[in-house]
Amino acid sequence: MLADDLLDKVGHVLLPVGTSLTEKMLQAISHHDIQQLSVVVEALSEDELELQKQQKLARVNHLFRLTGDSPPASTLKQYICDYRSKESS
Amino acid sequence: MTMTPDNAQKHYLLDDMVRHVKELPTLPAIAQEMMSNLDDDNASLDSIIEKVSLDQSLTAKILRIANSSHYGVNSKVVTLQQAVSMLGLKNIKNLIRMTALIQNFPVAQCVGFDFTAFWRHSVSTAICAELISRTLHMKHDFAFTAGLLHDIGRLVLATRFPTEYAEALALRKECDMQLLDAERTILGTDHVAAGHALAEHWHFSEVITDAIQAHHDPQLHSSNSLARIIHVADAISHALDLSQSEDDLVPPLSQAAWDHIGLHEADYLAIFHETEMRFEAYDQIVT
Repeated sequence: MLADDLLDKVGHVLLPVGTSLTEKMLQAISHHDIQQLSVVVEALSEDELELQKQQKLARVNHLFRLTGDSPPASTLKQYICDYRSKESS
Repeated sequence: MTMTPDNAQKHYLLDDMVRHVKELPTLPAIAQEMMSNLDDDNASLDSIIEKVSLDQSLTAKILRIANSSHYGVNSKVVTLQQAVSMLGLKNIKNLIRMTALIQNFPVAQCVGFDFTAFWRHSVSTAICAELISRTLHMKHDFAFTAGLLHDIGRLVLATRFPTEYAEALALRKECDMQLLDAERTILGTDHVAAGHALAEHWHFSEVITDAIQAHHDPQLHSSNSLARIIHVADAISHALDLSQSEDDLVPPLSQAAWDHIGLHEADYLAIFHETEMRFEAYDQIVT
């Protein structure tokens, strides 16, 4: 979501503060040579965070699917899981 | 050993690969300099700028990187001099190495070869290897370059044997097996042997050549710390999913290499985070 009005070179408002940016909008403003814009990231709910975490851990399991229980690979896998879990908390 | 028709075919391919490697183009002078003289930090910024400015594609890439959000600049970087001053000599050397390699291997004819995923993996392994090396207080310029080049044999196989390598990639996918095993099944050789042959042909420094040769078997050059670092960085890059390849796999990890590096979880978590952060900026070269 835009944290401030997005202006063009001469000060016209391209998008007002509070606009939720979509893929289509980003394409539309891409030819305006915009150097920077301020955004507010909307916080995810606890359920969304948990879902995101489970998806990340499932992906880690998939990547380690052939390493078996060998000690260094399982240790690395645990570290990656810890890392991904912290990202989603 | 009796030479079966299958074996004869495979031995032919191995010989053919070495012959083809010898036919590869020589690297551009500036890249050759960067690849072999890793210890030479005396090359002046001016002389590098002068050489880089002759290559439009490289100049454009350097400007893109300098203008990326990773470097947090508000004003636009417009000259090569500004960009080089900002990125620093080490990053510029790495960019030259990467660009030179990309330009020398047209892999389009190899069905199933995901060039973007390949480079994402190479770059992320390079970054991760450098960070491990730095954490261990070792010289990290070698680590970046060795990480970048560790899988170069895959490019050799994909460009010189596109049909056979496409078969190996298809087998890997169909049987969900490690790439090395699929390569050996179809080609009778693998990207490690191809990379080693190329490294010798292009006169890479010995430490880099050994790291390429031992990145799946670090005990092969057990006195080479760099080989162990590349081995672990390779696994981390796969584990962090940085190639963004749907069916990616973490390769087997050597206990001896892991133990020898001996970092703690906190070190690794910091390395994971910084690898991802720095990878975002380098990723722009590839995509």
